[in-house]
Amino acid sequence: MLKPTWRGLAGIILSTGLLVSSGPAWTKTLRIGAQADAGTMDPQAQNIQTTITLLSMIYEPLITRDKALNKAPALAESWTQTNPTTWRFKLRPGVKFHDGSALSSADVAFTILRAQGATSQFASYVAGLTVTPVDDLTFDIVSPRPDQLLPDKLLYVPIMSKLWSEKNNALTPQNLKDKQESYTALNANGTGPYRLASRAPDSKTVLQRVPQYWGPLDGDITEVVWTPIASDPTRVAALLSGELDIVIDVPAQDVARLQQNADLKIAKVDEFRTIFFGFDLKSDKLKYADTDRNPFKDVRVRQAINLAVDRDAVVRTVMRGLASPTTQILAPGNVGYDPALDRTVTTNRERARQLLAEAGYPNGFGFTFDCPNDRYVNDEQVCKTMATMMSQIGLKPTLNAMPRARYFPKIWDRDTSMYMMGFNSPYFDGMYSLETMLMTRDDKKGEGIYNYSNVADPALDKEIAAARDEMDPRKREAMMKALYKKITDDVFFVSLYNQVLVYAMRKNVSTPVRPDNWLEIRWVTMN
Amino acid sequence: MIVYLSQRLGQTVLVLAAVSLLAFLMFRFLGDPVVAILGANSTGLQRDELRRQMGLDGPLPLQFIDYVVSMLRGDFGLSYRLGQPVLRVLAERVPATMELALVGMAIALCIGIPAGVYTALRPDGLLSRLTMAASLVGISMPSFFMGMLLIFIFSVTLGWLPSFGRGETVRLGSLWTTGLLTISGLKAILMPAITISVFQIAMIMRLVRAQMIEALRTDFVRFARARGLPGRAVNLRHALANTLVPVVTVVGLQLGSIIGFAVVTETVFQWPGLGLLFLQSVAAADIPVLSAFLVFIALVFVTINFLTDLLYVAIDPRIRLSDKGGIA
Repeated sequence: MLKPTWRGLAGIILSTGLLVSSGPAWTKTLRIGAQADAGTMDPQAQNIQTTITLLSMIYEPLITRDKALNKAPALAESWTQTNPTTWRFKLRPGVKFHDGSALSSADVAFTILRAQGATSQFASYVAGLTVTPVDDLTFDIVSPRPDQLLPDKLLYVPIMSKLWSEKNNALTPQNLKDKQESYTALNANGTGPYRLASRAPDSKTVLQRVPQYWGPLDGDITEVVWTPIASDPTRVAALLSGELDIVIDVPAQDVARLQQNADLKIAKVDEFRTIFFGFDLKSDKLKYADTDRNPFKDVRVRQAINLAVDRDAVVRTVMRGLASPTTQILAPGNVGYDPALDRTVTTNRERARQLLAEAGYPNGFGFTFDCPNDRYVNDEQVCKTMATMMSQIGLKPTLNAMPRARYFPKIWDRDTSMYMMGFNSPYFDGMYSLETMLMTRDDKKGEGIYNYSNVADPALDKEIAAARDEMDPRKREAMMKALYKKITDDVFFVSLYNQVLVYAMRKNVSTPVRPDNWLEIRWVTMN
Repeated sequence: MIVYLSQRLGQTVLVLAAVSLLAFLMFRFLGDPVVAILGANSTGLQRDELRRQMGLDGPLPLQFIDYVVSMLRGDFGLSYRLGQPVLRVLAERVPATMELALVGMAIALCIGIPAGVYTALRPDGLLSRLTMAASLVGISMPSFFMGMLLIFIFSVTLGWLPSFGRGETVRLGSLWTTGLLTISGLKAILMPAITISVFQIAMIMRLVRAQMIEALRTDFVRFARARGLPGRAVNLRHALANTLVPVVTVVGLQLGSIIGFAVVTETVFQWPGLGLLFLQSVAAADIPVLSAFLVFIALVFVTINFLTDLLYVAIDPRIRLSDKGGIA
């Protein structure tokens, strides 16, 4: 009984001794608080911004974004399109992984192959790509068809070391088949400014500055402590009490209070996440409804719902002002965005009732709509408000709210009559939404993979494909704007708002806030 | 005794078998674990491939047999959410929860029993009335509110105690980590332990008080007084000792439920224990973790019950463990 205790005590003495002898001359620690932990240290196993953000401190992609959010070189020094489907990349020389091995073309080829695996959440970003190394620092990437967004997609593919992954049997993001533990769940080896020093899932992850990092850093932070705190009030309290330096998901109800605190500052930006509702646009008889037809196929019914929504009220009450009303599904800052589409209708219940009557539903109809209750900010509350607003024009909606683990499988099966969705394009470009949500479903080609409305319109498919494959950027943007106008006018979706992103930090911390909620550690400064 | 023990063991196995069946059935309806692994936006091709890899595409009875067989081999599988073996995930969380529960219960006993005895002996005293009123507050105050109140006072306003986490921990052996050997660890456990103990203090106190009042009315206590024994000896050795059997039962059950279901307190303080794990696993439909968790909790309850049975004998020599598998 005594022995382990003594060992423990010896451990304390030893660790304090080590701290004195081998610690750096000074440390500057940035303590980040977030609602959820990164689920893994594998850069391809989880496509969730929290995980992407934390791992971007350790790992680096070929291409990154500068402060103006334009593409900028990271591990790749340059890239040029040599023909419509081939891109030639040159790697930055002299870059080393944290384990000391040098970065080479083979690592890129390995990473992209790994990202195409079955348990990779980034498979659609690199689908069909082949990497041909030319020499140690040069390689070609060939895509199956012309893709203007290829460099943008590579932003989400941090480069891993081939040798390290092979040595640790980490050839796939998660190996569930062999029930084998993923080495990469707890270990990391990147080229980034910080290396993983320790990790305790759901409680604390510590990163240490890599002295020989190749790139520039705005600040001189030597240590990053990532702390997930699930409870909203506790996270805010920890910031107030000085136990955290920055909180990247501030609960809406605390923003006003924090703003008044002299030790803190608040930074906001319109997030790339539009919240909207979609409809079953295919079935002839609506599945979850008390009618023999599918009223949602009639544009007048969708227009009526669009007119029934009081977006300003939703933003003011449910979202406490932390959202910007919109009537389209694309957020500002994306290629293809047209501000004119943000305000295409204003609330008009009388006209809405009239439209319902014209469509043959003077007494409305009953139907069930599906919502998640743990996915988006205030999702269930927004849906309850939505139900009220729809019933104000004579419809009889029933809300079916459920946890995301049940919600998404239902939506995936297209087993829904009306559903809630929060969507953003990871490429700062409107094509992603058009291609994945509106083209006829074809999983193999990656078209319509999120087409939960079951839109199947060959003419529309053709138009989207034409814009997608257009090589002239200006023409392409004009084509996309026309498409967004069409889907907004035809009310394919009833959009509500774009979420506003809020960071709160201590006065001595500064960072730009990116609309994709990506905390870029290289831009964070601390005085 | 040996017969008793083996019968107990048999019962335990039965309970665990029932729990694992329930766990399997229940969590099948919780949601699709594929969401946790692939995220909200995935393609149909990816999902089919993954289900095939995980054996989730087979018929349900086959999946259950697979599940039981690997569990019997001690293989609880991999956590869908964390990608680590379930047993290690649990083992990492158990020390945090155990320490929190034991410290919380120790605080509750140290305050609850004396307060119960005192209020029973002086039912009309001012202090007794105040204590009783306070215990009513303690019973009715939700623990998340209690936790936030403590955080607001001791972390935000005074800056004395950390508002989250376990502080620095020290490794004891290969399995256990303790926060009780470092200053920051002791500071960190204080508020969560108090939050957990508030309800327990109030309950133990009220239970001891009620039992004590009853005991004080019994003949043997009166006779003891009549014989001229000093009040202290009568109150503590005779009266209190006789109230402890029900108290031990309740404390045992409560300890089990603190270990298993300190979800709220652990969430408020981001305490890296089982409760927090449970909550996050439910959200992710992390079935392997949830099933193993249920089996573990069943094991805890069965063990505690067994220990309380043994404690009865120590407390009250009139009780004998019979070989019929219970208390006689």
